[in-house]
Amino acid sequence: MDLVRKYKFSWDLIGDLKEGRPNLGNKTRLEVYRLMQFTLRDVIEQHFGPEETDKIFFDAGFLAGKEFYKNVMKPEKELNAYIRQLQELLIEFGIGILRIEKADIEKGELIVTVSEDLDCSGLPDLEHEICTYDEGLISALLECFTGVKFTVKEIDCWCTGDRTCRFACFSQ
Amino acid sequence: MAEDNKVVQALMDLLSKKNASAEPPKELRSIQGFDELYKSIHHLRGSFISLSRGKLDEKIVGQGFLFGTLKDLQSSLKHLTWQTKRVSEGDFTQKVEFLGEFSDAFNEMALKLEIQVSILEQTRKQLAESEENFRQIAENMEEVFWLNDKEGNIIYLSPSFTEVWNIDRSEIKTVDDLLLMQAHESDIESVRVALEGFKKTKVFNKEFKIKLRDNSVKTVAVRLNPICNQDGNVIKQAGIAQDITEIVNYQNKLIQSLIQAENARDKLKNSHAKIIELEQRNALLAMSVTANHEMNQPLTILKGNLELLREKLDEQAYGRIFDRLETAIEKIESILNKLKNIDRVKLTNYVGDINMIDISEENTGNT
Repeated sequence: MDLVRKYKFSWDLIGDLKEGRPNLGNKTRLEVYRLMQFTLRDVIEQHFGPEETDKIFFDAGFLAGKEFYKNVMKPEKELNAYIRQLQELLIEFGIGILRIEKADIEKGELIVTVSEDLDCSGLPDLEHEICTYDEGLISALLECFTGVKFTVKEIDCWCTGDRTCRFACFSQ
Repeated sequence: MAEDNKVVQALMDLLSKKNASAEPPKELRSIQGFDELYKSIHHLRGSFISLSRGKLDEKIVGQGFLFGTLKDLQSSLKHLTWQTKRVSEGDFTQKVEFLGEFSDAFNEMALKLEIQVSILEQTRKQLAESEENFRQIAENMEEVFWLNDKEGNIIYLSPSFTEVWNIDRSEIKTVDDLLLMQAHESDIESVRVALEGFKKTKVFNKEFKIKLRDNSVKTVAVRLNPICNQDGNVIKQAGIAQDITEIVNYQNKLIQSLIQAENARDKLKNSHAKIIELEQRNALLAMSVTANHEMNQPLTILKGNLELLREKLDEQAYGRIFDRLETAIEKIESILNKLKNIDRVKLTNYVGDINMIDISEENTGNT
């Protein structure tokens, strides 16, 4: 059965912030972002369970990564320049501080960390990784640059007591 | 109480002693949670030691604030290592963010490196361009150009050497090889002397002949110039040689032509003088014939009538007058005779700018 789409994403949905928020601008409090994310996650989990919730958040992050690449980033041919641009944009947008621990693009292996992460930094210990949205986002950003699909798994997270979120990335 | 002291001592040993057991003391293992606490602290200790020794790939197993902080430090160090490698590969866009003074120091270092490398690159580019220009000039100029060190060893010798000397450049190791090996036997000693003189005077500017292996001879003009450092000491020498064989040949031909022209000019001058003399002589001859022809008859009449007068008039009264008249007539006849026999026209000054024909006996052949 074909799904009739009602909420298909397009960058237009970000809206004209200058016109729409002439006084408040494009800033908001991080609590609001997290309020929305974790209430949404809560409700989705209630409807579909934790595994499906993680999958939905990964896919949403992946879609966000593709759109971010398409609408925000400038084309780069060289990995270092691409990473440099991404680092600057993630800081500019207040998403997090991206650092590279290892990058062997020929083997398709990267270890990256995101400090002061938008989703999780400052959360209480939960004893499980929580940044599935980031996993999807990073996966899409790597795939858009290399043209190869990447598996991205968070191996350390603020929520597991670590001070930074570390992601292992492998090309498929 | 004694057990409490052992717990404290065991944990203190973990923190302070160089060698600490990986396992807690046996008598304390029965305390609930102590085994796990001891091993966590021991692992934390091991991770600190690894990091302090620069081992960044050791896996830090454990959770919580201290482990998290250590992982954060490990992550930052790994990232800095990765960035430093990128910088070493020439990517000076790398920047360290949010690491306090270290960020400032690293970013300033990267910026300065970028500037220095940029200057070096610019210098290298200019040097390469300069070398390319030099190479193009040296390899395309007809003159032979070389550089040698102060000991005389050839550093550079332009390809045109082979064309002029007709031997391979690889055979030439020193300036002496270059200048003396094929110097013509008539010039070799003077070249040797000039080379010796160059050591003192720093001047070598000489033309000499070289004999090629096919026995043909060429003439070359060679000039040596010393290259000095800032202290004025000679560190290298630059030499330039030009094949002037054709020029010398042209010069010789030109000199021959000049000599021939000089000779021809002298001949022409002589011929011209002869023509003039001949014309003068012809004119004189014509004048002489005319004079003789026109004057001899009146003179004969004069002489005849003088004889008649001498017979009729008193000799005693007029004899001296008749004698003078006869002498004048004879002198005119003599002049007419000289003019008839003159060999060449020789002028002698009469008065002022006016000349007269020399009819002396030496010029007329009359005695």
